[in-house]
Amino acid sequence: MSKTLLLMKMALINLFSNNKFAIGQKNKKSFVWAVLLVPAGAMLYISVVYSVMLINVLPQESRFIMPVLMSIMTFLMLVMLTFLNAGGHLFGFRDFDLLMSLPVKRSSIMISKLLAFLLMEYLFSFFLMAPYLIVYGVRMYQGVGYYLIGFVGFIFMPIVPLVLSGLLAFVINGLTGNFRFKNLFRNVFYILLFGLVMFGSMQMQQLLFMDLFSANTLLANLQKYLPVVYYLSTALIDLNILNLLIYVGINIVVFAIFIVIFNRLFVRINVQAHQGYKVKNFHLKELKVTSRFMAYFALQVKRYFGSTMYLINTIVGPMMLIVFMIIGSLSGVDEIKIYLSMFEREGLLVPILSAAILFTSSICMITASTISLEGKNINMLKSLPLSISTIFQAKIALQVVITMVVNVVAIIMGLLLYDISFITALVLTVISLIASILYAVLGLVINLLFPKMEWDSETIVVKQSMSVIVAMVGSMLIAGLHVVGYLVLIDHIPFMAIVAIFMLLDVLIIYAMWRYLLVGGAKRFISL
Amino acid sequence: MLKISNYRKSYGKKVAVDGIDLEVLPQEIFGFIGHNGAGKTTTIKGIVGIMEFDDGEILINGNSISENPIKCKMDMAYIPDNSEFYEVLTGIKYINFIADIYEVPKEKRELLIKKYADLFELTPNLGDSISSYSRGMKQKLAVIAALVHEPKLLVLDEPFVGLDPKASHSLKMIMREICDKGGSIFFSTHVLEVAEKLCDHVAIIKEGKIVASGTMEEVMGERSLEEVFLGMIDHE
Repeated sequence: MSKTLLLMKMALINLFSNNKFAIGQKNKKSFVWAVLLVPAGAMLYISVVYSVMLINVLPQESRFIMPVLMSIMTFLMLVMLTFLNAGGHLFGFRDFDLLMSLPVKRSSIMISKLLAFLLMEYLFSFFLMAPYLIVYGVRMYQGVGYYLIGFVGFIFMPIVPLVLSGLLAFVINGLTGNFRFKNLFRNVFYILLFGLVMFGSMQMQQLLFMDLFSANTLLANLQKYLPVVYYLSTALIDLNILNLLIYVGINIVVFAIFIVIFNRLFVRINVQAHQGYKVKNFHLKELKVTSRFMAYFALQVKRYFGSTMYLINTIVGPMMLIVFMIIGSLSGVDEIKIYLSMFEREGLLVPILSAAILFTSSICMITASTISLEGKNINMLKSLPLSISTIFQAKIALQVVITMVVNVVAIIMGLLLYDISFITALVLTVISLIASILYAVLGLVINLLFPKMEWDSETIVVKQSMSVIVAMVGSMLIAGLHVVGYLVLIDHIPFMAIVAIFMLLDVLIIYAMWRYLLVGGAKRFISL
Repeated sequence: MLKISNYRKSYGKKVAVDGIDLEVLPQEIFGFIGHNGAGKTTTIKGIVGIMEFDDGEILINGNSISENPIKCKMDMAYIPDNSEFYEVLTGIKYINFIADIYEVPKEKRELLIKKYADLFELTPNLGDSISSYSRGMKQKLAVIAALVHEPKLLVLDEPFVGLDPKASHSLKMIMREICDKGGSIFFSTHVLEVAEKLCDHVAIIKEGKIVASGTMEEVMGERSLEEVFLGMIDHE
């Protein structure tokens, strides 16, 4: 096996393995499959439903626009996803020193990291592309040629997003270097980018109602600004082999140029990423004294804001509420107010907003990777005179505080921008508080059951570890059960009574899980 | 200060430490010697409360580490062989964090941090992020953080690895100073010359069992510690 392939194999093993399991080895495989299949099935289902809905909405003569819209959507989503991942996978990975000391070419290290990353992107790409390619193919009675073009399109689709996000991460790493507040800079930048992509995706919805003339304008603009998507879309629509070849050619050329640039700067940027900042003329100043809990909580806060990957991958959910509020205020507050008052008259406003908060908070699973992220620090932590319950409380508190700060900002924006009543705001705040505690405790329990203590990049823990997947599925399931409960009971009991029942149940579940954490969870923590 | 009775720990079917007994008295430097995989780190992890064990008892200053871990940990400090830190912090923030956890009064922590940071020549680097530190600097930071709360028992796993000669010398002086003030030191090492010069008491562990224990004179007799150690390790 060539050295590059060997390195790639190691990178892939690191990406997809090393989770410790609380369950027996016998049940491990079936459990892993079950857990992976649930979110995979859900993603595939959503993607298929969206594709079917889209083709049904479009008039027969405009259906050709579907591959164009979906290709743009896929491209934007891939840029976003690869951008979030690129930093951790391509720069600042922990085995950099080890790999550089091995008798292998630096290009082999770089290509192995790049290809392992690319393989991961194909997973996302599959869920985004396969459903719309098949739905369009079936509904438009396409032949084998169409599917072959689709397959080639799928193979090359992640390349330009990968190059774009790699270059962007490159620039960010290069710009921030050893700058003291580089994490703050990166965090703000990523959050702004996230808002921008969300805004772009929402604007996409308007394209659904375009006429034929607008569709042709869109294609012309696409050819000018996003040729890679244009050539794939037109190859699919017209079964145009020449356009397919241009699409493949663009990808190959872009990738080749990137490899040349990347190879030159790969080592320099990685060395820089591993260096911390240094201050000149340091003098000891007065020290601040705090309690044990506050000291450990402050450490958790620093740890959280010190890792862009950790922050961005968890804060996205609650941030969606704020982004929607801002976008809503830009595109027309009055129109939204009309909808809101209509929902209020029907008695549906609080249930709808509660469901929104329950779902967005369920994506903010900070505790789902908090134990895994201790990594090799775990022994140092265990040797300190800190009770395990204090450690758990500080970790739970971080998630509750982060979720609540963002949710309360969103609720205040709702009060100020959309005139929601004070009572509604109060109910939403209480629901948000209970839900954030429930999700935080759940995440911690799950991370203790599925810890991943060995890793070479935080991205692997934060995005791909089993505990994060299980916790996300679990929290979304809880959110879903609440919403189903609202829907079933709303015609029989007043909404406030339903909320009270659910809150009581939630508190009982929180208590039961906390009791488990103090006994079983503490045992698992010590055994790590 | 430290009393280990019938300590036993297995990893699955493999017995790592098999019912050992040890006692470290106040004002004593105790050297714990053994080849790789003999059970040194497993024993140390049990002492400092980062690992549960199958059988036996470990008392720190009269308190059981299993029953009263917080009280025990307040009395001791641990310096691991490969110090890992929260690299997002600066050196000073890390030490201050440790001082908060051990509830060290403000004036005392400022005094001790200055004393030990100056001694180990780390003061100019305390404002730097830990990620910028070399291995030796990290080891110095671990030592300063361990000393900032004036532990009664200092447990060290291969403490001299990574330290420059001057820092090693300073650490040896500090170890003696702690003992002179009534504290105790328990440390593992491969450097037999250091153990021979520094320790009052020594124990040799082989395949999870103590094969020799006593004062340096009792264990060494007329031979060097190296000869004793190699003789015991090679003798099957």
